[in-house]
Amino acid sequence: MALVLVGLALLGYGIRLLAGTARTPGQAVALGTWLLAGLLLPVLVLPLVGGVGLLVARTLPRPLRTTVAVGAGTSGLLLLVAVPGLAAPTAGVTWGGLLAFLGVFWALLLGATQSRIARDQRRGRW
Amino acid sequence: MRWRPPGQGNPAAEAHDVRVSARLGLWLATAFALCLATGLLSHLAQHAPWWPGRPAQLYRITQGVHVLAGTAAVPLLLAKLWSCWPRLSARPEPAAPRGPAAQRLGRRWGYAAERAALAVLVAGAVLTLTTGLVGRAGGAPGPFATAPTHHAVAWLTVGALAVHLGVKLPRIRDGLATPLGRPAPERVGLSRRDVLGGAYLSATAVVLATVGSTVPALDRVSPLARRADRGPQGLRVTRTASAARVTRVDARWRLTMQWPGGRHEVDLPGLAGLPQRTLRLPLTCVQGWSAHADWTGVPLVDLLAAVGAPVGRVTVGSLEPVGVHRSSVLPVERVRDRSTLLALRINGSVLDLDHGYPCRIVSADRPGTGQTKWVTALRVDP
Repeated sequence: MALVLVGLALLGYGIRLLAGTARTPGQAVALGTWLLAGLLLPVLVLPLVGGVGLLVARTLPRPLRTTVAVGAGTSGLLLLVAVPGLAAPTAGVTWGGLLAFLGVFWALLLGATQSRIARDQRRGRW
Repeated sequence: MRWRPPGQGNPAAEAHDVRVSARLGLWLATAFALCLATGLLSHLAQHAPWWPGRPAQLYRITQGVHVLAGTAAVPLLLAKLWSCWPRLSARPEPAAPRGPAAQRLGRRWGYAAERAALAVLVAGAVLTLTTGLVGRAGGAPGPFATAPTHHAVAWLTVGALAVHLGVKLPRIRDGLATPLGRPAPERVGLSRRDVLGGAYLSATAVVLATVGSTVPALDRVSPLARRADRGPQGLRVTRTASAARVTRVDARWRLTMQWPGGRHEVDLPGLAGLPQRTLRLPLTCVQGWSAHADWTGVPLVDLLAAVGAPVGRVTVGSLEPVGVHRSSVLPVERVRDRSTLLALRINGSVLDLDHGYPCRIVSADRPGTGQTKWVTALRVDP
């Protein structure tokens, strides 16, 4: 209960601060839009991405499903984190650097998967 | 037949198991706690007069941790939401049909309050991380001020998180106390261990991709790092002269110093003629990047002594015509510290206009926002 009360107090403080940042109607609308977009993420975007991922995974051999799911998810996240830097000309983030990083990441991931498959085969697991 | 989201009441959907959600939640809460603690320190470093000047690397470390923990929170948050999302639309457990009306009403209101706090938590967390990521790149996600919004919405998120934890604590304890177990052969999608391993791997990858901003030795392996050495004279610039509307500084420039009962002006040759000191100090931006440089200039305390001014709190004025960076305040402890310089040179060369020519403040363990550039006035309050 104490945690809930502390949380409510912090919520109130946050709302007061947030109200201070929205000084014009345009700013208030933009903030409201962002907050609404944040709510739509788990309601619309994640199920859609997850559903597509599950469908794609079913077309792959079982040993590769986890690798591809984790690799695709991480690649998407890296792209998401890179977008602000790629959009800002002075940030020094380039497509070349990002693609090289992804190339190394996928090579390591597929290499690790291949080693695991070979080890499981030696142990006669499948 | 009523449609049911995958995972809701389906034990084969291991990604949505409470054991996964609880473990992801623990890591996410840890990342948020680190962000809150270091974010508060950054706020104090920018606004509290007692922020220490030693060790010189302190702000560099705390702000680096802030940015990296926030970056790691992105995959953790998305994985956590993916793990929880079937439960987001879950209905409350039915109240005892013969219970008192007040109890049923209380349960209904409790459920509504918990859902409202959850909505604020999700929306706030997304906006906090978005403003952090976009602000780190020097951009703005909307027509509102990025840093104050980041600060405000972080409090909102932490408050909603505390409410959420307060309500869900028994369930979280159960989830953490129950072993992950072996994957079920009939499972749908990834196993519990796969989901957790994937989330941890993603978090590690995004941290590795950005860590070079904070640890320059790793910038070769960090494609998303803001390279601190990319800029005039080998040092990055966050706020350029043109962005600050400082177009040129001509020979008429003077540094004006004022104190109760006194006033003194000095031109650039006069300033350069005073005894200089060279120090290797880190410059740390609130955006998370940091770099060392050799700064040469007049210790502020020596300058005040040379013109007969008393030692006291100093308000620094800039040529910047508008904006929050056009002035800063140096507390008396900083002014007394001989490592607080009015710097005229960087790495042996005269300051570039983007670095604050003709002179700027450089003080150890102080955020870049307080290292005022294009200094033109000093007001001393003893």
